[in-house]
Amino acid sequence: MSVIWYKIWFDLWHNKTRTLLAVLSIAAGVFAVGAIFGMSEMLIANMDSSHRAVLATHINGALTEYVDRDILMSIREIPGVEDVEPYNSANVLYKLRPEDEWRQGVIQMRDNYEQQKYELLQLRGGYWPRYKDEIAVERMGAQSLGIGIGDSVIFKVDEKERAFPITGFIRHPFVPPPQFMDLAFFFMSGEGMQRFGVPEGKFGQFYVRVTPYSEQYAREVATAIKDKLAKQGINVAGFQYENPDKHWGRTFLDAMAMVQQLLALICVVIGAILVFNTISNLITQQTNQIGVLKAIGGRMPTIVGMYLVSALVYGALAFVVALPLGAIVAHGITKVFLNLFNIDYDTFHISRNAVILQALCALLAPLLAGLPPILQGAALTVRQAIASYGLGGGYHSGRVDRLVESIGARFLPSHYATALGNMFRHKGRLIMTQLVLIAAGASFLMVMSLNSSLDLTLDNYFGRLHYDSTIYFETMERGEQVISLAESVPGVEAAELSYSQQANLLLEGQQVKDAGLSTNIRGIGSGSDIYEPLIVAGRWLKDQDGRALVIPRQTAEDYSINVGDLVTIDLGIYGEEDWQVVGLYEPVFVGGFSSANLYAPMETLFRISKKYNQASHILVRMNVHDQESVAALTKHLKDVFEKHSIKVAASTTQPEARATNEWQFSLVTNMLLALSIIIALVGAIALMGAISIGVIERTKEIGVLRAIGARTHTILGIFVMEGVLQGLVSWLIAVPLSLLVSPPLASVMGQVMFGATLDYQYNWMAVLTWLGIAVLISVLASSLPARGATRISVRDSLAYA
Amino acid sequence: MSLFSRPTNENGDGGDPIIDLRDVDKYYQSAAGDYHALKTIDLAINAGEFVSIIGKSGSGKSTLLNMITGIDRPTTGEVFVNGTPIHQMSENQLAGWRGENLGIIFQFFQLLPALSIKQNVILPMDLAGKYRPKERRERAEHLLDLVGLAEHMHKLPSMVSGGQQQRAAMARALANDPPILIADEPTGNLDSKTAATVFALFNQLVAEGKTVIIVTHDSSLAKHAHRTALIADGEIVNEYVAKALPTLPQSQMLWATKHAKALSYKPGSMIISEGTNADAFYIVSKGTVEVVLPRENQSDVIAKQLGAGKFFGELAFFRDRKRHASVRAAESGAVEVLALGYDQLNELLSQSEATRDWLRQIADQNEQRNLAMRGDQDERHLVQDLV
Repeated sequence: MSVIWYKIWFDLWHNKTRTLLAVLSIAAGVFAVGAIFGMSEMLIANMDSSHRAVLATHINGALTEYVDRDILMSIREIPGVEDVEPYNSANVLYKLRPEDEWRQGVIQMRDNYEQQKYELLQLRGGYWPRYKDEIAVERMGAQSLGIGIGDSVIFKVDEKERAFPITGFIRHPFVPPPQFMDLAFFFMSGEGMQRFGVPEGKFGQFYVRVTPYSEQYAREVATAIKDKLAKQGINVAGFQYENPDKHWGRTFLDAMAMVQQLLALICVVIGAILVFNTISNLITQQTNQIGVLKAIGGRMPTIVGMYLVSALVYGALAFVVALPLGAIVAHGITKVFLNLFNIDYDTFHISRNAVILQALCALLAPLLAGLPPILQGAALTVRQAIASYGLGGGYHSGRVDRLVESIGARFLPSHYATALGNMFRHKGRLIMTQLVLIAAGASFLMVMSLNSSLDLTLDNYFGRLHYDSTIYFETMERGEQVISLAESVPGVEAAELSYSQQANLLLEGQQVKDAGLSTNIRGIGSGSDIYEPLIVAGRWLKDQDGRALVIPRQTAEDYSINVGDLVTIDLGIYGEEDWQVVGLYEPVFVGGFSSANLYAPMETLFRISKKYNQASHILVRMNVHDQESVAALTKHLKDVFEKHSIKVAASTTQPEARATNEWQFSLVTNMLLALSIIIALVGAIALMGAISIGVIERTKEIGVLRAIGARTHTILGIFVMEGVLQGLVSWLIAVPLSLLVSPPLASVMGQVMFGATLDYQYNWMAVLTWLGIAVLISVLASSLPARGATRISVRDSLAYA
Repeated sequence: MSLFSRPTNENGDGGDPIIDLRDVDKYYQSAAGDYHALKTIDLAINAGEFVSIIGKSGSGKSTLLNMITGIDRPTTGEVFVNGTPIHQMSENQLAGWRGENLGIIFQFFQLLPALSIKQNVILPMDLAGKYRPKERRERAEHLLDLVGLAEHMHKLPSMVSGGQQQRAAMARALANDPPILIADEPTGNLDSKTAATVFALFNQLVAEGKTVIIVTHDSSLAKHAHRTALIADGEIVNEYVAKALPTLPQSQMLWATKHAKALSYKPGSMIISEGTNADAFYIVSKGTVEVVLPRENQSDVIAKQLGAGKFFGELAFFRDRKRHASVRAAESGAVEVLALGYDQLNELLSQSEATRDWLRQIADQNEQRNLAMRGDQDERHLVQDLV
């Protein structure tokens, strides 16, 4: 082996700590790239392919009544309709054991399970429901409930409890993850559905696909369907539209993936900075050797090549380490998310694009990062490289240095003042180290502020909801009765009627082709203080308002609606009427399974529907607010209603809703926090490297200090002090930087990831926390090289050349 | 195996010098201002010479060495080494050129600590791409055998003594068989016994035809070289002045170098005549002069022959300022002398009483001899002082 190759190998092998640090720092970034880019690619590809495979519907229609199959199949005659598939869906209450509480569920029924057309259900165990007493369960829900084929589920049927055996597992492509919503899905035959009030042979819902597809054309066809059915006296309750090519969860995941990809690339950059520091370290250590090599015939390309090969080896080793880890984690996270969206993913795949990207990052990043210090070192003349400068070599007394000296001399003992001066000795290296530490601090503070903003938003949002529980009835109930019953229960402070009706929003002058925005309109009682939305334009509802509407800000933007505009609300069987928009509100959280309501005076809705003082649900304010107490009181309320023959369909509590929201956010914020921790660790490594270089450069100084009386703790203190000063300076810069960047970041992240307008709050406690962390990191990172400095003997250091 | 090839320009009088510095000035810029490290240096070294450059600490000897090796560049002036104008070369060109043409031995050895002794010796051959790989290994082993380190070749530098490291450095310097070896304080960190061993090696290399230049502050070691260039305050003291007046302080030697007037004489021509007024002291810098004593009714007698580095004219300085003998250029060749006026000499000697005393002693001795010579017609007492 050529001696030159031997030297390269020796440098790599005999300083294993340095090699390991360099490899790990690159590997961290390359791993992040592999895991995140791999995950994104596989997640999105699988989600979309799974979505396409189930032949997602373009239009999902719901009627106000059950109609014959033939009527629905006649929709095929409408131009543009590819085909129609009728189905039924009913809300139910179920429990697993007699002593359990009732839980909300949905039973679906297909016209022909064996010959489905759209939104394909997949049999994953047992068999399709055939007989009236058989039930199949959605497999994700079954997993969550811990039930299997052969187990029974108890349903509430006509006020009685009836158990049905589970005969099959079915995968439904469009069910909310159990973590997002506690809503189990079951499947029955048409015969079985009769028990739940669905007439056999009749259907209340349907799937339609259009040809050719476009969102606009789908809306036009939906309008045509509505018109056709209306001519037969059949009213459409509403339409929902789906993108056939894009899974419904993509919006959330796309945004999350974008942020994570950015952070992964930041990891690569930070890893490259570490490589820069490591190679600077190496060059500094070997400056003398470079000079000798040049003196005995080593040309610059040879010397540059030697050290670039070292950088390449770091990258290659990092690639070897990071590739399998990244692939495994990518597969694992992909599987978790896909399973969350009820998509099977068992085969191990490696994303080719992610591998290519990893290879590029692993090899290019260290080469590019190592090039500046290598070129700088190789460009040194022999005289510069070999000449012994004695003490104080390399220290240039500029204005900044003199200022630093004067500050140090004023406030610190002389040996610690040198620590301050030493920090500024190599400004390029200082900047590099500070960049990483500041990035770590700023990202930590920004993530913590994002968390505190989320907390504040949730606090404000739920603070505007002056009720603790919502109880939904199966049928409209007399308002006075339910209010009176609710308020008679100890612990209940107040209860208020709430009325909700499906509606379509049509714009004034809108073309007939558009079927409008399908939404809910909720009635708010006169003088009610139970709900205060965040009004962003116009006003909230007032007493004596007639057909006044308050609509979501986003809806207003999407449809170019301003305060004062007239819009048409189609209330189905209650007809269409013009309403005036008096205000816009910010719903805070929309998207996914949440939708934004329109709000109108309850009295007006009563007048239109003729259902005076009838409630579809009530809002209950309690004198307890913790999750357990609210849940217990809600259950008690439901029992009271049941005892009075008032059928409760479902209930939700605010603490549960908040917990669900927090869980959703925590998925992302925890990932961001993990990434900022990685950056902090990398920052610590960068600091360790910078202090190590400083120890090498100041070996002679250390010897002289020792010779004139400096004890071990003094030497230790000099370098630890330098590390701590670096940490403090980075903290001082990270705080104002995070103050600047956090507000727009929170705004963007909230919108993109959660569809939420976050109420911003900077996390000042995190500033103190980061101060502590920064100091701790600095002390730990500088201790190791500082200890090395204390072990240098006077003789060795003064003979150092 | 023949380790070294004979250089083509070997000790050639009349041939171009192998190292030629012309009007070399070097300034260093520092926060305290410009420092003039080398002041219009002219230095010529012929192939095959063993030259020592001596001077006190800070005199500029290492800077001078760096000019020759290309480690540093002159601010002005020219440096030719083995015919190559190295002052015009880039850093990269210099690196490659050094590998082929120079072997450098550093004061602190500068062996690469990660490589064994043998690997350190192979390294220059790898860098220059010289010899086939197997030949490189064999050559390294032979070189280490030459310097007496064969049994240590697989050890790391940290495992051998300073003297052994220095010999290893010498072997490394010889790896590519360069015509010129440069050593900066090669014995500065060695004990006297080891230093002697190292110098013996240098002599051996010179005998093989290498040109060796060493820098040292130790004048006793410098005596081993063929020539000594004395450098003081960035200027080279005329070597003949240094030889003629060795007891003068270096600063005085430099003063004398600057103030002495160079004169040339054809072969056989008279330089000074007996009986004439004397006003100058002469140092021979080239050729041979004959001190001639006229005798009444007899042929003149040649009392002495003086070569380069010798002086005459001191007798009149201490007596009556009249010439007590004649001095002429020998017929063998032209003569060059450096002439110092008596007032200048007086100024010099006023700062070095030791030199004055020594010179007076020489003058007394010469006077006695002259008197004896005038009475003795036997030319067997002819004394030759040749450099």
